[in-house]
Amino acid sequence: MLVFNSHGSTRLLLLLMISVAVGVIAICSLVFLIVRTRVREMHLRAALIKQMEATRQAESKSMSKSNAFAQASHDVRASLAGIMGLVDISYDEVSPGSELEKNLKQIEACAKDLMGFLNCILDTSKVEAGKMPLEEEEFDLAQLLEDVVDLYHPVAMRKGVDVILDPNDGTVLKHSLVKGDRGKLKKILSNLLSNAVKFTDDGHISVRAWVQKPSLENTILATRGNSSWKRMMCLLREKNDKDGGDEAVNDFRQNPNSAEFVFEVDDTGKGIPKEMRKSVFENYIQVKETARGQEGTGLGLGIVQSLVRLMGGDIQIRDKDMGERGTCFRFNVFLAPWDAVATKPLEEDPEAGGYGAARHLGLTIRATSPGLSFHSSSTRQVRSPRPEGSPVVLLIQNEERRRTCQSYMEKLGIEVLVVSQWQDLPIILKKIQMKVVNVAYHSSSGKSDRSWRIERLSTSASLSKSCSRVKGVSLGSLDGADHTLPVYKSPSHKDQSGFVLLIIDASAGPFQEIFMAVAEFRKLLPSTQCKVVWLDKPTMRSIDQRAINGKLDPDDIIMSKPFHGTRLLQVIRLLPEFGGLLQKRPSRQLRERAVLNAEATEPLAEETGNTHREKPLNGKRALVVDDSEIMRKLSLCNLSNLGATAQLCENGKEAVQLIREGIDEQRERGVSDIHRPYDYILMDCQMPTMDGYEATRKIRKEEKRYGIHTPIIALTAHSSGAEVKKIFEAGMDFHIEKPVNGVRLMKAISEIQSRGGGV
Amino acid sequence: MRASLEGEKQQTDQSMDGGLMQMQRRLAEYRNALFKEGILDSQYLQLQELQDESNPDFVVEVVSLFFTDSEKLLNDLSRDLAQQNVDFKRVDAHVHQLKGSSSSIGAEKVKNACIVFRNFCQEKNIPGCLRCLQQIKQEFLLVKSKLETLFKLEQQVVAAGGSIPTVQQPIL
Repeated sequence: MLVFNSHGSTRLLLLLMISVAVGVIAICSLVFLIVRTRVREMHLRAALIKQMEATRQAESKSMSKSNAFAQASHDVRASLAGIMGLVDISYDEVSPGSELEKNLKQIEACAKDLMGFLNCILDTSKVEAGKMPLEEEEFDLAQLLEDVVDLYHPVAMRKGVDVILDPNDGTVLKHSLVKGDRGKLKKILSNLLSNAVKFTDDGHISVRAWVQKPSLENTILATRGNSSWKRMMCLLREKNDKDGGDEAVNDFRQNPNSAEFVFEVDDTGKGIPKEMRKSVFENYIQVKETARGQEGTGLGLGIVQSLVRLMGGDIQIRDKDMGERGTCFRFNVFLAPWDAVATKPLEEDPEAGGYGAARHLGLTIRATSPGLSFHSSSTRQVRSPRPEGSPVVLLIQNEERRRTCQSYMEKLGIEVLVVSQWQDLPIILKKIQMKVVNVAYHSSSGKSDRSWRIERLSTSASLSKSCSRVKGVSLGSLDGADHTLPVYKSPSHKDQSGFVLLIIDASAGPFQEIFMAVAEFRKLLPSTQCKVVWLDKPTMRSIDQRAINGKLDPDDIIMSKPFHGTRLLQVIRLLPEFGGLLQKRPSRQLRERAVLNAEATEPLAEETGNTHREKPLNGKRALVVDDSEIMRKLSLCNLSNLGATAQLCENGKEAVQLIREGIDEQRERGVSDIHRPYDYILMDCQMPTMDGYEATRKIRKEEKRYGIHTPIIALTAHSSGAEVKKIFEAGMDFHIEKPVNGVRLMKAISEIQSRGGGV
Repeated sequence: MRASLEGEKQQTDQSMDGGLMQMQRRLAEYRNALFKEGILDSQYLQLQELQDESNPDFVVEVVSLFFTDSEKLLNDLSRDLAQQNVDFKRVDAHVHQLKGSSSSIGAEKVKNACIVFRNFCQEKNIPGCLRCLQQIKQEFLLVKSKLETLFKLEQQVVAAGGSIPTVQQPIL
């Protein structure tokens, strides 16, 4: 029994010991593991704390650096401003055309550049320091785009590069009144455009914009207001936003009122290699340049990125299609509409065409218009077009501009006939002629004899049949604004006007030939049925007035500003379907329209009345004081053309005498209320015997006695600051530069009148 | 195509001889050349605009005045600069006048030469002035002969029954 027991107890004991041992081992290892993780955790935590400390220090160092820089830069700015001011003053002292003047000009240019660099650096540091607040103002986005494009157009044209505002799908026109920071947006666009101009030597630069449908990601963010979710999403998205930017981004995207506007600046220039794409946005990095002397501190794009991010968006370089050269920058920003009535959150829009954006902006759409989809299908169907709308013939040299105008007009339902080479113009005009004549004589459309399939002709038909019913969207508060889309009224068969609009680039070929082809065409159409818009370049006028013996039809329009934006819309409005029948000739002073005088321009639709029949200075008496006979003759002629009568004299002494005589004569007649003997005096400054200043002083003395004041306009050879001062001190009212011409005179006189000139 | 268009135009426009067309074209080309070469500038166009039915010979009159005026001034200048003690004030006054009148008819090259002259005058640099005077004389003779030719061409056109084209276009 004992044996058994001992066996059993030993076994038990053994079992127990084993289990204990195992248990101990287990516990030990567990403890060991726990301790190890704990230790590791503590190490990590310590490291993290150290790291955070380091980051904080670095940030605060950078912050204080930025601050210090911002402070110091004020001083730099002041000194620069001082230099520029002194240069300005020195201009007065220098003789024009001298070496010194040239040097001064260069100094001024360098100082301006310095100022530019400084501002660039300052802006970067401001954004980094979080000190760049977003301003909010209401502005017209389409107008801003057009202004910026027009700003860079001349300098690009000098290089042979065309800058085109691509109307794209017209969504920006519809929602063009927005609230946001206009200045920053302008800076972004200017920066991108100036880079594009710098690095493009031929081809074109296109600027386009559209309203983007809200994407899924944004809606999720918008609907989930949960802050922890936000934070997680932030972590997951791995953005390296600045702190301020992060909140702004979320603010924007959560704001149900703002819409996403996408912009693209697309050029055919040097292009940026893929490896450099990320780094161009870093400050102080510059893509290596050719020896053409294209400089750039490379600061521009960094700022652009910061500003774009500040406005809630981002910027990237898009890939271009195969074989296309150049760079395409795309960025988006969020802007709120001006008249934000809607409070509905962003939602997916089932309809094609992005009208979701329009809807939640509180706009009403008059008709369903599936014709205006975002990206038109590139399939071109050559089919016989219906004789519904008035055809537009487009002869534009620049391919890209041609394409954008054509596609935009087609989206509006206009039938566009593109002439790719000027030699084809007569052929196309003949075809239209036949069509128009047909339409005029037959009520039903006769399509039979028109075969539009000529190889060199690229006729593009309008989109699907619903295009004929396209109606524009107009924002309620937009009376008189130029950016509503024209409203297309489908012409009924009865009032087929058979109107044809020709848009012709005057530099597309030898002007004489083109003009003659057009003149031929016109002979066979009544003038109300055809209108020609000539596109000319302001810097190199192709339209040779004298060469064609001035036989341009007075109703023709010559456009020297680039053909896009408001001007494109104006021309479209010439079509009867868009409301433009028998536009009155924009009437202005015949004298004011000197061809080479690039002064005031007036909108097409303004009807100012036939001012060139009336003479603005009818019945006025002027006194001309000048020692040069030629000048006197010139002034006399100018004045009489404006309807005034003129008395001439040779120097200041005679002028004073004439004034005295004028007054005396009134006194003798017994006039109680003496008025000024002349309505205006044109006084030359430099004369022998008595100069203009002296004469004016004497005349003013005389006038004081009778309480009259004759407006005196000084004629100067060149108006420096010192001279202008002298003019006003002597008592003269205004000054114009010699030689005198009608425009300058009228400008001076209207200026005086607006000031309430004289008794 | 081109030939036939031209032919048609001639038929419909000029019942008289096609020579008028050619004359007008020659006139236009000559005029353009003057502008392109910088001999005349936009002020000349202004003068042309001022000419109308009430002032049919305005341009010719003003230009003739300019010729006589300038010749006298140039003579005065030559004389003044040949003096023992040159009176720079007088010289400057003359040049100022010449500059004024040349700019008022659009004689661009003469005007520019005057500007340079004035600089030398201010520096009291006699050899420079003399050189400039030569330059001005040259430019003046050039513009005089060119304008005289231009007027002759215009006379021919008018005599043949044509009209001298004027400028009148609305520009946006």
